[in-house]
Amino acid sequence: MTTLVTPAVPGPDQGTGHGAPPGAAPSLRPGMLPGMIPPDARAPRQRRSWGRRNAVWLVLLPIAIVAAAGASSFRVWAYWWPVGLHHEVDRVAVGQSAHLAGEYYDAFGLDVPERANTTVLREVDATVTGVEQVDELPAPSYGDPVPIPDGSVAYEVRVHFAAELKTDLSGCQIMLVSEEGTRYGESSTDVLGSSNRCSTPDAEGFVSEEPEWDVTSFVLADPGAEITQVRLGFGGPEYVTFDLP
Amino acid sequence: MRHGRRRITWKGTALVVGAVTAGCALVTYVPQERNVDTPFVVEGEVGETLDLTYADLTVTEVRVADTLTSFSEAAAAGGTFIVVDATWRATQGETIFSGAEITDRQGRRFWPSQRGGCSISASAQPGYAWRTTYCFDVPREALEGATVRLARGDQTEEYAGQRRDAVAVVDLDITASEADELWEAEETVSPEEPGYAPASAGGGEG
Repeated sequence: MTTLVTPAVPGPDQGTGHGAPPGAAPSLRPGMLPGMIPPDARAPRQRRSWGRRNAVWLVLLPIAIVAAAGASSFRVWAYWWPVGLHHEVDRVAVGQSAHLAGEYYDAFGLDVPERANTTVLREVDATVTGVEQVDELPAPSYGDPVPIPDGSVAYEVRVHFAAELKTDLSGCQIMLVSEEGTRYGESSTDVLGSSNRCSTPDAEGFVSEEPEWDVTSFVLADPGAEITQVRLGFGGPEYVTFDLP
Repeated sequence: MRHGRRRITWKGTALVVGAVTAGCALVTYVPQERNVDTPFVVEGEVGETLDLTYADLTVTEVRVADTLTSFSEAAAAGGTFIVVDATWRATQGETIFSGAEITDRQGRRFWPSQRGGCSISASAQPGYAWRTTYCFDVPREALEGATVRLARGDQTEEYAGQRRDAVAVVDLDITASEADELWEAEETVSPEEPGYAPASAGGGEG
């Protein structure tokens, strides 16, 4: 026995049957004869390409790669970036004034107690006034005279500074860079044993005591090296470059 | 958006299993340690200047001592001290040379001693040659055929600091008969303080 049941809610196949008069065949719409293809009938759906089906994930993939690389590269900013000169903030010719500005964290406040545990902006205007090869080194402030070692030449670098009073000058590096990129005098201690290279020899602490002052620093280099730059920094990452003519 | 369950096909299964197998094979059979970790070893002899890219290194002299004396201390060896004088000339920037080790023929490794005023590392900048003395307390069997390995990277954690970096390995040129002789000799050495090296010992310039 067959019972014809008209569903209360049109099923997917009867979806076109709304508005059909009662009694008419449910698959036929008004104005359609059996065998006719309805004009709005969708063509059999084509399988979309792999790229279209995965478009969302393809867009997300590079973002995920960047996020993963960023998350696992914390050593770059935690260890590498803060130590060493990585960011050239100014570049001028020898004889011109360069502005070096950079922040540092003062953990102790040794010279200026109120700066302890704060981030301090250090701003220094520096001018390299001369770079000259010398035949001998002057007597150091402490200790025995230092002869220029065999197989080395010595340069005298003169720098004029201007900064606010009590600007921290510790960790100062005055280095000569050769055409090949060799960095001479990179250490914060110079050849005469001074570990306060940006302060005058009679300075008592590591902060500036005058609005303007001049320093002289000595650097050993290879005899054949062609010096092309002077770089000045305080441990980094910011530094300034002075190009030699 | 597609609905419903996806069919599991032979093709898809083979693709996944194949990819996993290929990945495992790659990790297992490609010698990663060799490609990723191996230092660039520069071999040489005593007196030869070796180019390590970041520095020129010369092992200038090798001595043996029972006793090391310094300003503040006289140190007696448990075995005997191999005293290695070396000269570093940095070529790129300020460099700390942390690696120093003697390897014997059995592959045993001896790290430097700080006793008697000896150095266990050195630090130098370009522009000059810097002399350093390393001392290693070794047993008798370690003398013959020993080599000294010097580098800027340190040798802890299975040479982790020397991965993909230049390392000097210098043969100390001690033969079996010399080893006996050196072991019997009673020598006292006063290691020099680290300092600027004479040009003749400093290797090439720049």
